[in-house]
Amino acid sequence: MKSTLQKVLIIGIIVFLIYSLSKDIFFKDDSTQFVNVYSSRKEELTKEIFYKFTKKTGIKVNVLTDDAKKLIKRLEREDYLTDADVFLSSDVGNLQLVSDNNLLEEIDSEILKKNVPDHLRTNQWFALSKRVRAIIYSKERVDYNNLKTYEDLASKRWYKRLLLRSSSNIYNQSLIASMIGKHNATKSAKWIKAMSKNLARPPQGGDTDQINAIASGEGDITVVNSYYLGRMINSDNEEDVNNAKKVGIFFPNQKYSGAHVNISGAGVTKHSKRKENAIKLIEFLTSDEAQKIYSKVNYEYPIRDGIKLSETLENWGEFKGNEKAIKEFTKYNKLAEEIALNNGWN
Amino acid sequence: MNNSKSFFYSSAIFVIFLLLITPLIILIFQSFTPIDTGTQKFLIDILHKYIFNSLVLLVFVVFFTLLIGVTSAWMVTIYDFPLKEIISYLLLLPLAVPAYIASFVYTDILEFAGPLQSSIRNHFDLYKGEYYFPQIRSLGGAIFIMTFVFYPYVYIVCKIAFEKSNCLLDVSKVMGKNYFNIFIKIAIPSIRPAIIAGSSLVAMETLADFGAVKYLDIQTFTTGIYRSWYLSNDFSTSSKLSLILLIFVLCVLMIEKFFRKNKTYTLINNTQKNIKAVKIEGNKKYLITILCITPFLVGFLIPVIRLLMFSLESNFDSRSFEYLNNSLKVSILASFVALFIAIIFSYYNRNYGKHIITKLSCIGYAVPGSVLAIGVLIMFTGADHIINGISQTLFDKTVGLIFSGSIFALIFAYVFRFLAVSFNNVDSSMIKIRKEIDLSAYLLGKNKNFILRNIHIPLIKSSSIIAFLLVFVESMKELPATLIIRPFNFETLATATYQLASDERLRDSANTSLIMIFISLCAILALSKQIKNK
Repeated sequence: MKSTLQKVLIIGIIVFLIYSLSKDIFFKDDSTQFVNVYSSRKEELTKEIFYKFTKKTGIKVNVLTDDAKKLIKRLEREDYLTDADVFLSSDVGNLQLVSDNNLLEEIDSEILKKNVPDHLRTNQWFALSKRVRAIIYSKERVDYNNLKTYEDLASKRWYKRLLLRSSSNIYNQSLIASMIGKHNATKSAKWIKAMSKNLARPPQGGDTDQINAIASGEGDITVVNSYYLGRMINSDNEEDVNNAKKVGIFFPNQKYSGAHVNISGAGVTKHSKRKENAIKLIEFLTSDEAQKIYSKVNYEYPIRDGIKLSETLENWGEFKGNEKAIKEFTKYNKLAEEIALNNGWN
Repeated sequence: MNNSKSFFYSSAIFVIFLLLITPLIILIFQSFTPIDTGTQKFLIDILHKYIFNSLVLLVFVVFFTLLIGVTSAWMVTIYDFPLKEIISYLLLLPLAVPAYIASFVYTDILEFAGPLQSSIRNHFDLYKGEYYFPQIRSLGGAIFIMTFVFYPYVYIVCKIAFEKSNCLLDVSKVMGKNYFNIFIKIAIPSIRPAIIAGSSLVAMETLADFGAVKYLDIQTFTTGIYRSWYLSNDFSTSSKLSLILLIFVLCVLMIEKFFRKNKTYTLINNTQKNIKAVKIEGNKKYLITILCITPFLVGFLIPVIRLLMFSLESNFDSRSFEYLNNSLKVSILASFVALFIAIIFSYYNRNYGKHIITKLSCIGYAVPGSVLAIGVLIMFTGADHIINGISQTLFDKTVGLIFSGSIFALIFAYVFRFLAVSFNNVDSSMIKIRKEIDLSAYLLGKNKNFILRNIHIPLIKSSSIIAFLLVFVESMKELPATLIIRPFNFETLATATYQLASDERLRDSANTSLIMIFISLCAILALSKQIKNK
């Protein structure tokens, strides 16, 4: 009796394998149009936008999601054999890196030129959304009048009250890079050193973790991407909503160059086998319809004025953002990482 | 011995060995590229940190897993206490929980904003800084988590070894009832090979781990390799780090070999007497029950319950079935291939004498997934480029990414990584089939096929099933190599869980975690049944 069970199991496993593999080999639908995206944006975001694109154009979107740096490495390795058509990622640092490594194609599209402002594109990558690295603070324990600038986070006022994510994260690297661009490497190093003394705990967790840590009292102030707060405010999870209520958002450096703004964007891969579909996808991502989704679903800012913002973004109000610097600071990214690690920001 | 057959055979295993070893060779070559002095200084600085952290983790995790694994194996063998039968199975279950999942869950439970500390603060009206609670995202936290998910490796080998040591029964009669003395003076020394085998398994797992140490923000070789390979775009640094890690691991293996060298152990296999368990009087037996059930609670039950709580709060992602399909596909295929190669190697050793290549091919287990993946990826994209180059010259067409764009590379990586597990099991069984049996069969007029089908296969069937199941469970849980090598539109349960958790969507990752744990659980239960029937 035992051996019949074993026989059944073995036969079952073999049948499963045959079914599973044959689906790959025989039933591949080659007739439909498709486009392959290497994306470092999270699936829940891109799902809705890609779905609308497919509905509108009939082009299916296949996605490989991974860290931006890994995707760039992969594109390098695959070279002219790659199956990827579009590279989609957060942070101008990543976009510039993939462009500098000669992995993107030059695109001449009237639609893209019209939809994306000059300072938010090159002829290889195009911004699709904006975000602010804003200051989040505890409403109970922080006096609003004390909030000023990123530079001020080094002040002794914030001793053991500051929370930061790891400096290995690209968002922080870009922030540091923009500091180096604004001041210089030496001043930035001093700034980081002073900030690291203010840390309430060693750098750990993601942006949402920093917000939660303020809500629970582990720290009083932090710097995160604005949309993380947006997500928490509108979350289905009661705990997230309650935590979001305990913190406020502040756009720093308003009297100076403005808050640190970064982008998410995309480009067409140099060896794309489906360039037309790739361009169509990126053009769609800059359309009014898609831009509204960025704002509504992920609480990011559209790349141009005139798009209706979600309620959360409206409530945060207007602010001055340092957009012109976006294409300037990327050259300091590598230096940023070294300075951070050498001055106590792990 | 038939010479032409032997030639065919040895070239077959040589080819397999070369294929398997190529990723490592690539890695070693790459690590000899020079680096600039700035990076060099940076490298030397962080090397101290990596070595320190890796050593501390290694030493303490091995120590504590030995403590828990050996004592629980002993107690379950020698004592009779309430729930003993079921506890002896339960103690295995943490094997189903990958270290990275345990670290997600325990960080959530034990961090400042987590339920435990929050309720402490609410109950005692405390604020931050007014009480001490250890940081979970620390070396101590990592040691704690790894101990409780890795101890089953020690537990299982020691338990089997204890059960086979019938001499204990006789000795105990001579020494009287001081079981503590027996434990220290006789039991532990007599299962020394098992202890060493178990601790080297734990050592491999600890050094190879990536997901847990990354999540807990601990800087070790694996995170350093990841960081320099991906973040700083610095291949030569990462391959140097990989090489150093490999040397580290080989040192551990050599230490293991050294400890085993001068001992020969004879197992008195003829008496089938099982060890009669000793009854405990009074309330002491409940103490033992509690002691023995704790590792199961910490390593399995608490994480699973927390995951169940999360899963109830989250949305079920219908793509989970797709992830499950993918995980099963690659794991089952890898297990079959590993078994097949193990049998080929084992047969070769039996008929043509032990070839060092068969032992060397097992080196994969010592190579951490993240290191291996880089070598495999380079190897297969290289192969694809060569093939496309040829097809372009001959046919003026490219054929695309055949190897690196498919699950082929992934299965290859799994097979190389886990061949040791498969081979050791099959080979240990094969060795036990005494040559005299073959000779007797020949004398009786039977041919080689008959011997193979009716004698060899039944005798190694049990360990083949064990080998298959072990590789299956390890493949299901594998994370770092899968993250790096996987093709388009391909997520396994492991990668989906990791992506969700590191994306701060811990609740949504619970569903895939639970499916993975459940399947591993079934495999482990099947495994323990097989071992028992052996």
